[in-house]
Amino acid sequence: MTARRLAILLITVCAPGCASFRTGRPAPLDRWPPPSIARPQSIALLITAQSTLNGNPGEVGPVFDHWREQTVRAYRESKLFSHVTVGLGDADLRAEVNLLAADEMSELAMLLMVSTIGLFPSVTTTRFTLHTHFKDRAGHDLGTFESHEVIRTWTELLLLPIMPLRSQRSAMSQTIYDLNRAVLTNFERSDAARARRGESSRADS
Amino acid sequence: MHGAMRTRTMPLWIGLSVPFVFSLSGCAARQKVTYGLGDVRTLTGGTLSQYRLLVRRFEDQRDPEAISRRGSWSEAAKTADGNYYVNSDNQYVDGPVAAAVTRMIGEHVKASGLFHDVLVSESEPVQGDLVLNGAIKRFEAHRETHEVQEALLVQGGLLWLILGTASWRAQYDATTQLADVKLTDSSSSLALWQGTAEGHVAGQDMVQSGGWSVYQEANLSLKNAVDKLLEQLATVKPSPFAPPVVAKPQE
Repeated sequence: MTARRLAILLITVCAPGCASFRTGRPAPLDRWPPPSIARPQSIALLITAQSTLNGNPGEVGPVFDHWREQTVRAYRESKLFSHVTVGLGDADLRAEVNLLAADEMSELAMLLMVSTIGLFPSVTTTRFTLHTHFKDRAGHDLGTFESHEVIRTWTELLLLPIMPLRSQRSAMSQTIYDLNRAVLTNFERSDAARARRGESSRADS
Repeated sequence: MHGAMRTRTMPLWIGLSVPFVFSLSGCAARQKVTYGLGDVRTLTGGTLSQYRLLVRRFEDQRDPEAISRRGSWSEAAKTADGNYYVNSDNQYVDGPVAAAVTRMIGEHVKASGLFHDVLVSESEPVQGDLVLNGAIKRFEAHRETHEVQEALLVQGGLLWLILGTASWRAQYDATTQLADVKLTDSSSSLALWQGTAEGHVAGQDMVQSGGWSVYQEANLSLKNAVDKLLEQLATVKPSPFAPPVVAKPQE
């Protein structure tokens, strides 16, 4: 019985798994949510996502729903807007949110990893770029903001036990949420946003 | 006795294993005009969201050479010079290509939520319906052929696999052109929008035997074209003559 348990434990510990780590995080935010504003306006989000693998275009797939949720969550929690909707609905402001997930990996390393059942490690680097263009109701430009972050996903032996703590899905979710927070913080500080709220950028500076 | 048994069972094993190997390698001509709709941009709540859209079958205006191409059971069709794999009509199992492309356009437009409802149909429109029709000028993908490298990969062996993975690359590109696309208000026969949409994908990846990925690449270019079509349709204002099919919700 003990030998069987030991075998199960050894297999679990030694089995190949994958773990994702965030690198190059955006600068930490001074304050979240940003200071509340007197007259928040409604906003409609047009969210798109693209995915590439080693520069070749691919499909994002059903994970897009999850990315969209994280984007909407960041806009709602910012408390900068009275109402947040997704689509073409009537709103004071419009944000065109475009997320690019560019995966880079060595196919040879992946082949070696698979053929040696994880003895050789393989790493996939995903560079997220969030590009957001804000417009007012009339379509006037209110500014474009960009933020980036990189996630590295390692696949090799011994990583199975830490998979639940370092899953790719949760790393991506948190990354997308943080990228949107960074964009919103920069937008809130921008001259265009201050001008819309009737604040003077010169007075603050 | 033992020898006789082996002789009898051998054809059985071959008979069982050959279809299995072919089904694994994707050789069967079972291609479809389809792609994932999980990442389609949400366009709900716009001015067209109260209308039903009828999508008519897009006219097939592709090059006759493109329509007449034939692929075999073991590989995708090739261009006349043999330098490229291309998608061919005979390997699609979901009916004529124009019908399959139209069905996919309808599904994509529906998934975006731009209209209240979307039907791919030849039925008569009712008052308030909008009608979308157009022509398919191009729906094709090209992938470079590399005969020697492909033959070595098929032959098997770790060395060829490592070499192929590390350095053997094939370029591909795919284009879908939708022309004369027209959104019409059925009540007044007024064209609300008219234009074109083109989708294009290109890249390079590992050399592959049979060139079957041209079908996926053609589908991706169609997805790209429909995305661009939707971008343009989202800016259309409905006709003042067209009564919405759905009552506007009370504010």
